[in-house]
Amino acid sequence: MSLETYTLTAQEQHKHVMQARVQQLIRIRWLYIVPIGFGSVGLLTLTNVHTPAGSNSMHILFLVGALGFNALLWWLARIARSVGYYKVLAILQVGLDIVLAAYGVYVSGAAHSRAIIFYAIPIVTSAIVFTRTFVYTATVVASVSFSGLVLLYNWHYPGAASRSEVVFVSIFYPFLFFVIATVVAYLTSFSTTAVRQESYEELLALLTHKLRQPSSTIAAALDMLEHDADSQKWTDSQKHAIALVKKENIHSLDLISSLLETARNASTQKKRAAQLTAIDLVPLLKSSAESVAETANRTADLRFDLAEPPVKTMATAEQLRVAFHKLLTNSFAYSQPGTPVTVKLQVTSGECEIEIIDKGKGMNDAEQAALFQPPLEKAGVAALHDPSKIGLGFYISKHIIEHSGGTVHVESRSGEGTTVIIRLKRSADV
Amino acid sequence: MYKLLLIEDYPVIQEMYGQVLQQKGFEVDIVKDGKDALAKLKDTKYDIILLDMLLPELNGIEFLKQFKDRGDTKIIALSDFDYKDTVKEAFALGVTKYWIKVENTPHLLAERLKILLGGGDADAMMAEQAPDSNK
Repeated sequence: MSLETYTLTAQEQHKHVMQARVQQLIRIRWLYIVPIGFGSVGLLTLTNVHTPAGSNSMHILFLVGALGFNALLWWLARIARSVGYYKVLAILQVGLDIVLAAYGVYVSGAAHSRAIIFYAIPIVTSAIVFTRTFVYTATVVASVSFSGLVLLYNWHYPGAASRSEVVFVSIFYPFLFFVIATVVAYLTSFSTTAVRQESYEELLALLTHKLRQPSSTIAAALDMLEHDADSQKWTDSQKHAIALVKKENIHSLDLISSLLETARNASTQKKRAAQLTAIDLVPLLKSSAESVAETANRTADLRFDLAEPPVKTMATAEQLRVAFHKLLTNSFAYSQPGTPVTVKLQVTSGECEIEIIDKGKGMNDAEQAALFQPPLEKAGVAALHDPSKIGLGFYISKHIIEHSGGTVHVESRSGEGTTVIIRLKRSADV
Repeated sequence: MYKLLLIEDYPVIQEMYGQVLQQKGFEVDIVKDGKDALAKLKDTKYDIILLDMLLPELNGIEFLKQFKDRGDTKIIALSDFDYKDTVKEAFALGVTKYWIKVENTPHLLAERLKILLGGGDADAMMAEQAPDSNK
């Protein structure tokens, strides 16, 4: 697939969802096999009381047929992954299971029909490939059918079952079927959500690939330049230029990763904890600040007040570097050359507190309130025409820091400068 | 001299990686997609295959499914596409390593391949070389 041809059409999405449901059905196949087994054994044991001649062999035939039918469905779904075929077979299976269960009620009567309950499970779980409405409809039909058949049998053979048994069956069965249907519906919606999220994740991976391609080419070209025989003859400014391009290429890649990670996190409520490692903040802050100061040509304005290393927190180093880079870039951008930008790091019992302090133009209350809003909400339609209004920096930084379990807020006064305060949990892994 | 097949559709990457790998002593053949690679592999045996995952005609995963008679050939996925299911599937289909292209510049790649073919731990080298945010 390529990004140009990858689309999330409704039809494609539906196909993915249905295939996921088929896979879900295969995963829960034991819900078929075990209940049918138990139900059949129970039924065979209990049919002795009201058993017309020959019904046991008929029942065995039905049982074998139902098991075989389920096995066929499972195999077809597995090898063909054809949702259309599966739907047809699922309808036939639902019908067969209802007939089988109804016959069991007819044969065994209300008193011994409890074993029939096991047939409810394959009936309802067959409906997993259909909509939730269908699942509940199938539940209602099945439960009404069973209850109706039990009542009918009791009417046909007066006294065959006690009143309490009849009531029990008439109330309990529908309730139990409803519970099963709810579980199935949950599984269905879960698979739908999961598939949609998977499609989104895949799209993000494709975007990552596309955005990384130019950086890959730049990185490869720089690599060749650096290893070129003539590289020994480069002037200092040439070497500096190459180093700058290399650094900004890495920064560009980090930015792509963090943008896409932000998009990924924004689409799900789950945060990604898997990639966090213990990071020493002291060298990370120093290198980020020095890099930004050098780019801004304001190395002389940079001040440090850092605790003794190591000061560790659980985070993703590349993402945290992006966050610091963005916040520091803003500090230098909104303050005048010759004014200090200070990076402080203090340690309390359980926290690392970072302050980025500038003496720039500051912000009023409204600007502070809007600082961490999603960019387009803040900038409005104007941002679409003037990307400089989009203001991604604080928004992305906030996401990255919160993803690391920290907090960020700003103290600022118009004309007096800004202090960005970041708090991160201190890692025990020191 | 190790024989290497580079399966890569982007001409600039073909040129740069091909040139450096040849300089570093690999005998390099280059094809642009999985279909051409399968045709090539019918007649030629390679020590190592570098496989991009997103390719025209026949992509990386489909190539892996169809490339059966591998012998000792090591297959390295070299791609900027790192969707988790694709990575998982690639390993299940027999790739030895899944390396991100942007992190494996041509000279670095050549060194890692030599370590790998020599039986060493190419990933340990990467850990030493990785851009260290704590510097």
